Amino acid sequence: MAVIGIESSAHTLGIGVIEGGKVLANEMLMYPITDKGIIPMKVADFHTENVRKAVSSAVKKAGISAQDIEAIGYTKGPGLGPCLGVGNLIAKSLSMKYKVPLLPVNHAVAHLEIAKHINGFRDPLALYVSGGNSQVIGMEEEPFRHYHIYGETFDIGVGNMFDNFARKAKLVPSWGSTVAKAAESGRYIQMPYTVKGMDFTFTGLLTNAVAQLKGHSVNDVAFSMQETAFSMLCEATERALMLTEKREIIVCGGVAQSKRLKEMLLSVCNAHGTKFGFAPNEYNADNGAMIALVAEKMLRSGQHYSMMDCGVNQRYRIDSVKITWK
Amino acid sequence: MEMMMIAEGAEANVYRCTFMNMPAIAKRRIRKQYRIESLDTYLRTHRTKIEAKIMMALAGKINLPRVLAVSSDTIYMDFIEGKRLSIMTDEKAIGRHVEESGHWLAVMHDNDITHGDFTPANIMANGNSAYVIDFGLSYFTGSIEDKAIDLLLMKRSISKELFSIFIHGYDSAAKDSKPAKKKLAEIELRGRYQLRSLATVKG
Repeated sequence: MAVIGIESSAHTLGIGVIEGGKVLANEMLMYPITDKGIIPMKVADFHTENVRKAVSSAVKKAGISAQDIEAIGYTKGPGLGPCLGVGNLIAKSLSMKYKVPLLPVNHAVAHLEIAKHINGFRDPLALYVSGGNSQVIGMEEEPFRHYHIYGETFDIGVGNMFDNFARKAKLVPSWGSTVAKAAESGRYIQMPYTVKGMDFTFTGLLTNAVAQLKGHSVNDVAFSMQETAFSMLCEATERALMLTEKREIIVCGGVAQSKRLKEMLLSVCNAHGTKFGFAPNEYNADNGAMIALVAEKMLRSGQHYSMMDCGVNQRYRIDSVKITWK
Repeated sequence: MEMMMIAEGAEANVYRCTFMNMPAIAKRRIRKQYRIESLDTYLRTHRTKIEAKIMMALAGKINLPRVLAVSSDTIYMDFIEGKRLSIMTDEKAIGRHVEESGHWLAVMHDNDITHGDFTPANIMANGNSAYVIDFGLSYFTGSIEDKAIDLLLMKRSISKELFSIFIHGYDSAAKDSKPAKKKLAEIELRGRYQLRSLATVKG
């Protein structure tokens, strides 16, 4: 019996199929990003145009038929409203069509759970880094079992900072991996470094980096901004590690695709004898498999939702989600 | 000098030692392999310098360890006998110390200094007095927002009842506590904080 997961929180439309924790299909389509960034209504149109094709292609790849479908999971949030709406609508119609349960999944929980699942970890400290989010998270049992946020960005997500910088520096395509490429051959310039306890901010760093483009090579600026931002994230993570005494660290979310960030976190782990894990890139990018994985866990642990409870929530915080599985 | 490590922090290690035959503490910022050397050296020396400067600026104004000597990465200071508030269990005593710590934070803020990590783990109960320790994330700033974040960190670390006792102490010592409290309410309404859970964590 398989679970279908639908992800549509931002620019990526993902349809995944999971059976007993095993990925049968993980189809992805990405809205073509221009120098204007993401325009939510246009992305929603893109998702609407492509979703039927993506679902049938995922089902075909998974080699399942209608009677194999056990449940439908979809991203409830956090994300862009119009984009979430498309996934929600399709999930509802599939659930009605196949007469199977519908499960609203938190996007951040999904990123964390798939990395945890792939590495076989039990109770990791997680650094969740993407365009919209940057958080240090771990499981806490009180007042109910949930993923607690030990620290997070006070302003923008670290991925948003990279994307923004790429557009200002006219790097094409305008996203993090292009900045990472420019950073390969840079030299360090001092930039604002802001960590407050286990929280951090990125807008000051972004403003400074953009200003430093006058007078320094883009390589030096990209390198220094990346080193500064990742060092801040590592410091916050290390502080949370000391506080929680957890024995495993995972990194997940779009920015977890960065080689340099993983190298730095591995160094943090080595200094404390902590296990380090991450998922392959296809699961750090937004994807449907992680949504299906969590939907299956929700289903197996007895969660049940009526159609009325299945809406979207643009600001669906990870720490408000009751975790009903181990 | 013989040094015995008593605490391993994320940023610095803390050692028991003696200074001029007196029991002392050495706080040493250690090299972090994950960051590039130039950033690492800058952060360690800069933070050590600022921390020592802040501690010396507060000497005589609040209860804190006295600075004995400073090197590029190490601060030597008085050894304060006592227990961190975070591991105390006597509710009455905690309340008293929390109120006093509110008093000390107000004095710091009136001197345009924020603590940066103002939680019960960094309040030391020594007899009837509360001592503020670990100025590792402190800095000089007049920013109301930074002061409000000190209040926010404390609010997130203790119960509602204790926080009102804390604020009472803060109010009683501050020249004008209204702007920081107003800013705190504003920050909490920024969405990211509205739903932030308050799990009790060790530390």
